[in-house]
Amino acid sequence: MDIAYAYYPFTLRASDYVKRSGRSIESLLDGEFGKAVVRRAKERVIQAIKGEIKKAFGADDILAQVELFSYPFARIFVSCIGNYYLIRRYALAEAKAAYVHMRGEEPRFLEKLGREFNVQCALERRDFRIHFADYLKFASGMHDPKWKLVNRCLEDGCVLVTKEEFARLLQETIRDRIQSSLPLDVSPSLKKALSPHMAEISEHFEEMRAEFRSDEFEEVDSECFPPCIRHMLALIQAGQNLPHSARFALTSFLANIGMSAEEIIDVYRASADFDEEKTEYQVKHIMGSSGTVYTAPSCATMATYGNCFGKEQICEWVSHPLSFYRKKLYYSGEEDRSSAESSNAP
Amino acid sequence: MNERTKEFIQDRFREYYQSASIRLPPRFEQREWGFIFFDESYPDIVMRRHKSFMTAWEAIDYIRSMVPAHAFHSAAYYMYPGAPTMKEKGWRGADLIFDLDADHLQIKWTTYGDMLQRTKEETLKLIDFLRADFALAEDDIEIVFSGGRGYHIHVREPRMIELESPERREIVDYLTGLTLEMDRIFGEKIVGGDFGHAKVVRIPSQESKGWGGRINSWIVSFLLDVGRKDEDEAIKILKSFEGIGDERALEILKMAKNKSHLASVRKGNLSASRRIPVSFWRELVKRAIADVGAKPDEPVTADVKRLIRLPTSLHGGSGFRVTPLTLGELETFDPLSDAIVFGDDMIRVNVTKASDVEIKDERHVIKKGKQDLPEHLAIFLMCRGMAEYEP
Repeated sequence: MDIAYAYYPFTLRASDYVKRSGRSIESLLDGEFGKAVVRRAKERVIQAIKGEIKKAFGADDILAQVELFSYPFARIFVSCIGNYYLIRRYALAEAKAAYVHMRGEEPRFLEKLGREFNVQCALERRDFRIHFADYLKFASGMHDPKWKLVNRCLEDGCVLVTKEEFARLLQETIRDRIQSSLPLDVSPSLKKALSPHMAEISEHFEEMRAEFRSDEFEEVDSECFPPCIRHMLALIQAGQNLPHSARFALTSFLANIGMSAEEIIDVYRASADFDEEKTEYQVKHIMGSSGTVYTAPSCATMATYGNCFGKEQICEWVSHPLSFYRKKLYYSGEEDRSSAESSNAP
Repeated sequence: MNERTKEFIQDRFREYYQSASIRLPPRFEQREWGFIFFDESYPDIVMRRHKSFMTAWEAIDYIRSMVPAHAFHSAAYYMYPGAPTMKEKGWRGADLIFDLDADHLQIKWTTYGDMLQRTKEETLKLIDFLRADFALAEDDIEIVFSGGRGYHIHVREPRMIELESPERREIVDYLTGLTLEMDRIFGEKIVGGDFGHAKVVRIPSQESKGWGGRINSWIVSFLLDVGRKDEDEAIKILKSFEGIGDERALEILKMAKNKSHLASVRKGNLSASRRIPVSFWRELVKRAIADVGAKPDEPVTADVKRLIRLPTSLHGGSGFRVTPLTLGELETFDPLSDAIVFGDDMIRVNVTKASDVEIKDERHVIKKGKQDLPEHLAIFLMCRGMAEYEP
């Protein structure tokens, strides 16, 4: 096998190799090779939870094989837990790890890789020409203004990107593909066979979630709300009714920062048209009662619906009301810390 | 609008729909339809949505028998276009739509005809972007006079149909140029040489593609234009730039009249004259961006579930035909005569609001009160709520 594909286990070529090897998942549950694979798979998921999958197998063919076979197992582990945040975190870590290696590849190799993900491109010396529709699919989610189409050279429907940028776009494609392919259906017998390994993974995942919760939004600090949210709250306090898009934005924002359904319903109590039953239904719907947990809309969407009010300095640096809150919380924490320090000074 | 007037307009609309060839959009059976009828609440708007048609005959028969005041179809394609909620419809892509509307463009205009002319210029600007920068073929672009205050553009290229809202928003941002970063266009560099250091100011050459070439062309034509004016007027224009007084204005004027200086501007070199401040060029680039950009109504393009007027239907607010046009037809299209389907028979109406209307190449100064007017003009006034039918 071309050892390079162990770095890109999500490609067709890699999965073909795994299939053709004749080694079934079940057969890998025993034996030395299998043990190494499962050990690495577990490590892979734990590394993903911690934020970075590290790949170091050098030129050793056996280690490369272990690496390659650990990928389908890692996916099974992630699927056994089945949590949406874990899937997202895992897909991102896999894609990032691939990016680290893609940056160092030859343009021809990346061109081939791109083709597998339906990203058609033409090589122009060391740069890549991509159709703007392919480009937008991934670049429209990036925050740095350099990715904006208007700031690129658009020529005959194509955008020119550097090798590094192309690798970055592929990272997005890879993340997308991995994320949308999970969770897998795992048979109960396989689940059972893997259960001894699951405990350790779950432990790390729970630790991360706990950290995430305490790190992120320990308690709700309304002082740090972005101006749009404060504006909506003020309108409700004044007894006004919010348009539907504003209610959705406010509810999803408050839910995302950790407020409970009951607390959010209380917020709406001052509305002129408050209807407890209806509000409860809507709040719970947004919080995931129907299976989808909604994330608060981005600044761009807020602006589109006319819900962006009163910009502040921090607004210039963020593109999402939640990022505003996160940043402001951080800064106000910093201030507290530094004022505490200065008061301790002799 | 009283019942008699509604009935009269609906009768005339019915006559149109009976004989007109109604053109259905491609894949009409996968689209949602919406209509506004001449019912009790009209002209207050009650949109009947979530309609769908399985066959062309069914769709055309519906329009001919129901005679709507306004007819719309979705830009989107759905699995179940008639399902009552968006979630159940199953979105399967949408045409890329641009709406160029005089109200949104904030065009300053004197007459209706003038306004439509200005909107047409904006439409041509946008089409040039679509064809040159986005490499869309003429066949992929359908141009439609909206029947109101502007034009709609429907793009049906397969790759565009798949685009989601954020991607569509990026296209609008490209067209408007509002988020174009100055540094991508405007380059200042200090170059050293045997004779000391000099500041070089550059923009893309006239030959460059995309925004760069457009900005360059705009600047060159601005300078040519200024150079052709009489001196007093030219100086006055140039002094409207910050930091430009009499002396510098004269310097700029000298450059604008100098062919070799203009040639180097075309190549993107703005350092021809050291005595022209960089701030002048910077301001010129800013003005170029504002003027070159096309300004479609953003939410319309970003909304992948919006309803858009059916081309070949009638606009109930004007009585004009929502007219599909080829690029060639657009150039010579005059909505105030080419979009009019009604004839010249005299109709008695009671004008409730005086106005000044130019229609079918004729100007009418209309006073309040009962009078006979040609049918096309009478219907226009009634649709706009400025007259009632008076048999």
